[in-house]
Parts: sequence; structure tokens; C-alpha cells
Amino acid sequence: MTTPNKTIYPFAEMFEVDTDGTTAVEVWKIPAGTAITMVLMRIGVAGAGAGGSVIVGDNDDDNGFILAGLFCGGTVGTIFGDAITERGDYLNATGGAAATSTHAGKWKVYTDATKSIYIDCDTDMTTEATVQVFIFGYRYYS
Amino acid sequence: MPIASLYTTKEVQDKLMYGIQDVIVKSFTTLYENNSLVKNVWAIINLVRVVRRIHKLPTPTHANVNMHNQHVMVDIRDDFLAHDDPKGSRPLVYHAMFNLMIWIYDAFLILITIKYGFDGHMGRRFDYAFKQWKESDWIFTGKPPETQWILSEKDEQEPEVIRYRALQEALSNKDWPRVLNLVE
Repeated sequence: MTTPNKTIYPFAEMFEVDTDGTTAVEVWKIPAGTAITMVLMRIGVAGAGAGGSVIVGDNDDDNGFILAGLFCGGTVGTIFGDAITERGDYLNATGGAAATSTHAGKWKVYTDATKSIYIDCDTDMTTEATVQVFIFGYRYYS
Repeated sequence: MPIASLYTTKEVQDKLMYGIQDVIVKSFTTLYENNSLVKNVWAIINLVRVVRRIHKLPTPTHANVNMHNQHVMVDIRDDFLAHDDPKGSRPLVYHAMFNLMIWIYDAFLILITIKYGFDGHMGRRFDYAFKQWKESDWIFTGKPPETQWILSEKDEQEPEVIRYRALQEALSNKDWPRVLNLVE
């Protein structure tokens, strides 16, 4: 019996985090051998105050997965990232800047465990929002 | 179908030219040129007056416009205002701001609907800009606004609305394969 080499498994992870104003919040330390193909975010508890935009990205591109211009104080259940126009360069194959992704805007590969997923808001709200971040992709083992 | 509309009468033309168009050009020029605070404040006051003047003009309807594209614009305005719900859960100040936005948006549509009918200089430019937009790779998400937006029975049957509702349900149920199938 031999050991599989570089076997690939699909995964889906869900995280629930509170926004922290203009301070980036670490959502997930990305394990080595991870290919992220989709990131969605949903508002679990609406924030209060002046609202603000929220972005989702990593250490290298703070809006690489979900672009700004989205209302952090929006209504409960609002989903971001399911429309092409809401995706950042890592996952938006139609954008001119899609070159920053690993493969033409379709996925982002992390070969080592040095990066994390972050969310960030561009304003301090009187009550922070709680959001759920859904991350889809593949893990591979070499 | 009338050859000329009531917007081509001298009375309305004078209001459009001297009370609205000239004031818009002058006010924006003032704001653009980084003038003194007093001048800028007056420019903003004049722009608010312009919006009020536009709303005092006869509202374009199917009965008083005579060009195909004007009818299209009337339909767009009526559709927007039928969906837009100013009675949301937002605080009073947001209501006021939101109503102001609708007011300005409505004024803008009234103005271009009227101007399109007789002003070839502007109308052909609108035509060109819309043609370029139509032929561009602009992506329509199809997602309706999240707040203060009324969905009609017809809207509820739109594929994008059905997809979005199903996606919310799939995420709640942690039905991951279905989630991926529901994302573009």
C-alpha cells in the first residue's frame, strides 16, 4: 500500500467574528497547502452607527477576496461576494488586476502557513457588526 | 401624437434655459474653481433652488412626452419610484437624506426626459453615452437593493431573487455543495 502524493480535498469553513472598527480582525490562519476558490460574507448581527464599508483579504491584499463599498451596517442576512462585481482581485477573473490571483482570478493558493484572512471596516461604528465568513477551496498534502 | 410638447413652449423653455441650465453651469463652475466659502455656499444654495424649480415644471408623463426614448425614461422613473420605500427602519435623518436623494434623482430624470425631447445637443450626447454603456462589458448583478426596496410579485419570480433567497437558506443550513452551485 502506498501513500497518496499531493492528494486534494475540498473544504468549507465558516467563521463568526465581530468587526473592530478600523482595526483589521484576523479570521483564519491559512494552513499550508490551501487553495481558496470562494469567500462569502454574511451579516449575522447588524452594526449601528455611521455604517461603513467592509473588506475581506489577506496580508498582501486587504480586499483581495471581497471589495470595499459594501455596507457593514446592512441588514441581517445580507451576503457579500456572491456577485462577480463584489469580488476582489484574487477571485475576480474579469478584472484587469486579476493577475494578483494565482490563476486568472479563479483561486488563490497558499503554499506555506504564513498568511491569514482578515476583515476590516473603514469606520468605527457605535455598535460593531457580527459577520460570518465562509471560505471554500481545496487542501492539498504533499 | 403631438408634434411639439408643452415643454417646447416659450414659458417652459425660458425656465429651462435661464432658471435651470445656466444656473447649473454657473454653480458647478464656481464649485470647480475653488472659490471663496461664501461663493461656494451660494452655488450650493442655487443648486438646491434649481432642483426645486425642476420639480415645479410639469412632470413628464406618457401623455405629455412624444419621443420613444422619453417614454422609456418615464417608465424607468415610475418603476424606480414604485420600488423605492422611504418608510424604512432608518433614523429620521436618514429618511430625510434618502428622500432628498430621491428628490434629486427624480429631478435629474425629469430634466433629462424633458431635455432629451427637444435638445439635440444634449439628447444626442445621451444617446452616445448610453450606446457606449450598452456595448460595454458592464456587469449587472441583478441583486435588488437590500434596504428600503419594495419587491413586486413579478420581482419575487426573478431568477436572481430566487437564487439569492436560496443562497441565504443554504448558508443557514450549512449545505455547502448547494452554496457553491448557487454562486456565479
